[in-house]
Amino acid sequence: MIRRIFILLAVLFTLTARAEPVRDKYVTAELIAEHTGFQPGQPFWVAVKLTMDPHWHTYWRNAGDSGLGTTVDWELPEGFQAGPVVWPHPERIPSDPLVSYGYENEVLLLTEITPPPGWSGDQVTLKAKAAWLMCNDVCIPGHATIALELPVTAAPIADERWAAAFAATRQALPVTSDAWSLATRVSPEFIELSLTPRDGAARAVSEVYFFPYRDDLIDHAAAQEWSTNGSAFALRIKRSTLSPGTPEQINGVLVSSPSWLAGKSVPALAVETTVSTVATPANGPVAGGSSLTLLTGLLLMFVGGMILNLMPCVFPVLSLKIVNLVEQSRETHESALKHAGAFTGGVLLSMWVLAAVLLALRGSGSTVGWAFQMSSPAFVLGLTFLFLLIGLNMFGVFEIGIGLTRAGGGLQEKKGLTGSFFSGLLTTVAGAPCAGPFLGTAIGFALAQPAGLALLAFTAMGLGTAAPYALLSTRPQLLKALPRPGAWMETMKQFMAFPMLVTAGWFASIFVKLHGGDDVTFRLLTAFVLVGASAWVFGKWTALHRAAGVRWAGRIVTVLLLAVAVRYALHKSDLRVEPWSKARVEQLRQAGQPVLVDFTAEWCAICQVNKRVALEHRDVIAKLKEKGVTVLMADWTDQNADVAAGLAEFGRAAVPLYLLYGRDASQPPEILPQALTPGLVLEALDRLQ
Amino acid sequence: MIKKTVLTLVAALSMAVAVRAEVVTGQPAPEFELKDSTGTSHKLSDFKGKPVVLEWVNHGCPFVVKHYSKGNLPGLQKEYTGQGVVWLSICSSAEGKQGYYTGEEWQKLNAEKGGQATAILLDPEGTVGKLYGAKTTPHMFVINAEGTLVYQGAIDDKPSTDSDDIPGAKNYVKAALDEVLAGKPVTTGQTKPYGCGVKYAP
Repeated sequence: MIRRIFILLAVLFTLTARAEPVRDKYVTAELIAEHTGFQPGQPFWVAVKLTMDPHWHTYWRNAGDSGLGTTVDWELPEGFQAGPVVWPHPERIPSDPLVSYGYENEVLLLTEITPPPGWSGDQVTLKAKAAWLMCNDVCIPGHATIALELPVTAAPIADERWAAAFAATRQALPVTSDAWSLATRVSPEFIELSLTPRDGAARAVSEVYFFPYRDDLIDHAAAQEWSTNGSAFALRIKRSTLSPGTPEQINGVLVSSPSWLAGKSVPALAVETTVSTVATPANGPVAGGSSLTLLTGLLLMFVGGMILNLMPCVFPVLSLKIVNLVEQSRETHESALKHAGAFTGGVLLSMWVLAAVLLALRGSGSTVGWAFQMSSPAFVLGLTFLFLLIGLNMFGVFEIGIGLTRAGGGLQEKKGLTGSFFSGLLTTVAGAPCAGPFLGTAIGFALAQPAGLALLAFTAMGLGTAAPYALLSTRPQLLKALPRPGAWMETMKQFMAFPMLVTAGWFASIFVKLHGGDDVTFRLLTAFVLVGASAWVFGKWTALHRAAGVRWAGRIVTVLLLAVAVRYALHKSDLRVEPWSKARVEQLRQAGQPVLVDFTAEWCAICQVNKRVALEHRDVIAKLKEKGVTVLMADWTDQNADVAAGLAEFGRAAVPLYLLYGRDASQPPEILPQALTPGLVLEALDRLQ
Repeated sequence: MIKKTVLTLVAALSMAVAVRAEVVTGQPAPEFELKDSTGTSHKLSDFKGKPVVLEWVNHGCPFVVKHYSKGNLPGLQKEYTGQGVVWLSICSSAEGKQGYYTGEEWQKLNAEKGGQATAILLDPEGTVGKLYGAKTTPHMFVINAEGTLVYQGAIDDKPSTDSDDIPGAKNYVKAALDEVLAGKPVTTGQTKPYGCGVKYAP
C-alpha cells in the first residue's frame, strides 16, 4: 500500500516542472520555463529569473560606465542546445557622474533551448550557472547554480505561474519594425540616428534613449538630444573617447516612452545599422547637408545681409535713415562716406556680438543656429508664439519698439558720427527677428564652419546690410530710384505677416510632435487665442495716447495672458496611460493587477472633461500609483471595430465607459458613472483591496 | 549701450572656455595636488623625471579585491617602484561612502592589504577623480617621465571579479610601464576600464 502511494507521488512529481530558487545574498536566481513540459525536437523558452532585493540592481550585457553583465553558463544533457541570452531592454542607473545600464526588482533573461528530436527520456534536468554583479551603493559578485526539471509532454501548455512575467519580458525585448526607417551618421564627436516614421509608427515618442551593445561606443553619462524637424526625428549621441575611429556598424536598442508603434506596447526597437554618412569637421553636426564652397557661402551671407534691409522691420525706415545720413553729413561737413563708415561699423559690431554669442553657445556643446534646442518643447513653443506675435504685429494689431525707437532714437539723433554708428547698430537689432526664416541656410552654413570662418561669414552679412546705406548716402541722387515711402509700405508690411504665420505654423507642428500629449492640438489652439488676445490688449491699451495707469494695466494683462497661454500649452498630464487591448487586460488580470480602462474618443466632449477634471487630478494619479493600477486607454476616435467590440461586451455602443478591474480575476469590473469627479474615482480606488 | 555690448561679448567669450573633464592620451597629464595618508602634500609635478602610475582604489570593491587578494597589484607596485616608478593610489570616495577612510585608517588598511604604493592620496571631494575622468575602481593611468599621459583604462583585459583570471590576462599597466622604461612608444594607449563605480560625492 505504502509502496503504491510512493509510486503515485513519484509519478505526480515527474509530471510537473520543478525548480528551486537559489539565493545569493541580495539576489534570488531561479530557472523557469515558459511551458509546463517540452516536446523532443521542438525548441522551447526558459529564463533565468533574477529577483533583486529593493535598491539592488544587476547589469545588462553592456553594463555602462561600471559594473559587470550577468553571465549564464549552461550544463545540458547530450543533444540539447542553448541559444544566446535574449535581454529585455535595460534601465539607466545613474550614480552621478556615472551611468550604468541594468535592472532593478526582477528580470527574466530568456534563452531558447532546442531539445534533440530523439530524446528518449520522459524528462530533462537543465542546469545553469548564473554569475552576476549586484550593486546598490556597494558591489558584490553573486552566483548560483540553478536547475530545472522539465517533463516531456505531448502538448506543452503555458505555465500559469510565469505567463505574466514572460509576457511582460517579451514586451520589453527589442523589436525590428518597418514602422520606422533608420539612418546613421557619424562625426568625430557624435553619432546621429535619424528616424522617419512610416505606417504604424506612434504619433509622438519621448524620453528616447539609445543603449549600445558595445561598451566603448558612447558616453554613457551624457544626455542624448532628441529633436524633430517636423517630419523626421533625430537622436544625437555623444561618442566615447574610447570609440574607434569610424565605427561602421551601430548596434543596440532604442527605447522610448510609451511605445514606438501605434496601438501596441513596444518600448524597444532593435538597431542594427551600417553607418550611412561620415561627417568630417567641415560639414559639422546637423547642418542641413550644406556643402557650399566658402566663396558661395560668403556671397550668400552678403546678399542675405542686403535682404535684411527689405525686411518689414527695416525697410520702411531705410530711405529715412539714408536721408538722415545725408543731412548729417551736410550739417557736420564730414564726408558722407565717413558717416556711412560709422554706420557700417555699428552694423558690424552688432553682427560680431551675435556671432560671438552663437559661437560661444556652440563651444559649450549645444547645436546652434536655427536648430538650437529644437528638442525642447518650451523653446519650440516660444518660437511659435514669437512668429505668431510678429505676424500679428505686421497686421497692425499692436505696435512695438516705439519705446525702443525713442530710446534708440535719442542715441540715433546724436549728432555726428556717433549718431550714425548707433543707427547702424540698431538696424541689426530691429532686423533680427525678421531675419530668421530667410537667412536660415546661410547662418547654418556659417555656424558649421570653424570659428574664424564663421566670423568672416557674419562680417560678410554685416557688410551686405550696410552696403545699400553706404552706396546710397554717397550717391543721394540714387535715392530718387527708391520708391517713395507711402501707403504701399503698410500693405507690404501686412503682406509679410503671412510668411510669419506660416513659420509659426511650422514650429507649431514640431511642438505638437515633441509634446506628445493627446490633447496637445486643442491646448495649442487655445493658447493661440490667448496670444492673440494678449496682442490685442497690448495694442489697444498700451498705445502712447493712453493714460499711464491704463498702459500699465494693459502691460500686466498682456503678460498674464501670455503666461497662461504658455502654461496651458506646455501642460502635460502625469497620467501614465497604455494602449488598450483585450489581451493586455487578460494579461494584467492574470497577474492579479488592478486595471482602469477608459473608453474614450477625442470628439467626445464629456470624455475630455472627465479626463481633465478627474483622471488627471493630482490626487487620483497618486492613488493610481499607490494601488498599482495600470490605466489603459481604449481610443474610439476612429470608431474602430476592436473598441466597439469591447464596448459591446458591456452592452454599450457609446463612450465614455469606465471600467475598474480589481485584483480578483474572477470578479467582474466595477463600472464607474459617466460623469466622473475626482472624489468618485478616489472612492472607487479605495474599494480595491 | 556700449557697456552692455562689451559685457555680452566678455560673457560670451568666457563661456567658450569650458572646462573639459576627460584627459587625452598623448597630452600632458593635468597637474593636481593632494594630501596623502600621512598628511604630506604631493603635486604631480613633484615627480617630473619619473614615470607615474595613478591607481584609483576602493578596497570594498570586488574588482579591487580581485587584484589585491592574491597580491597582483602589490606585486606590481613593488616591482615598479623598485625600478624608479612613482605609484600613487588615489581614493576619491566621498566621506560616508564605501572606500573612504581617514589618513590613519588608511595606513592600517594599507598594511593589511600589503600595499606597496609610493603614497596613498586622499581625494574625498572627488576633484582629481573628476579631473581625470576616473570612472571605476580600479582605473589606471600611466604617465611617462616627461609628464605625458601614455595609458588610461583597465588594469588588464579580463573584466571579472575572479582572481583566477589574472594569470591568463594581459596586463596593460605592466605592458605600458615596460615600454616606458625601455624608451619605446606605448602600443595600447587606451582601454575601457572595468570595476565598481567611483563613489563620488553627490
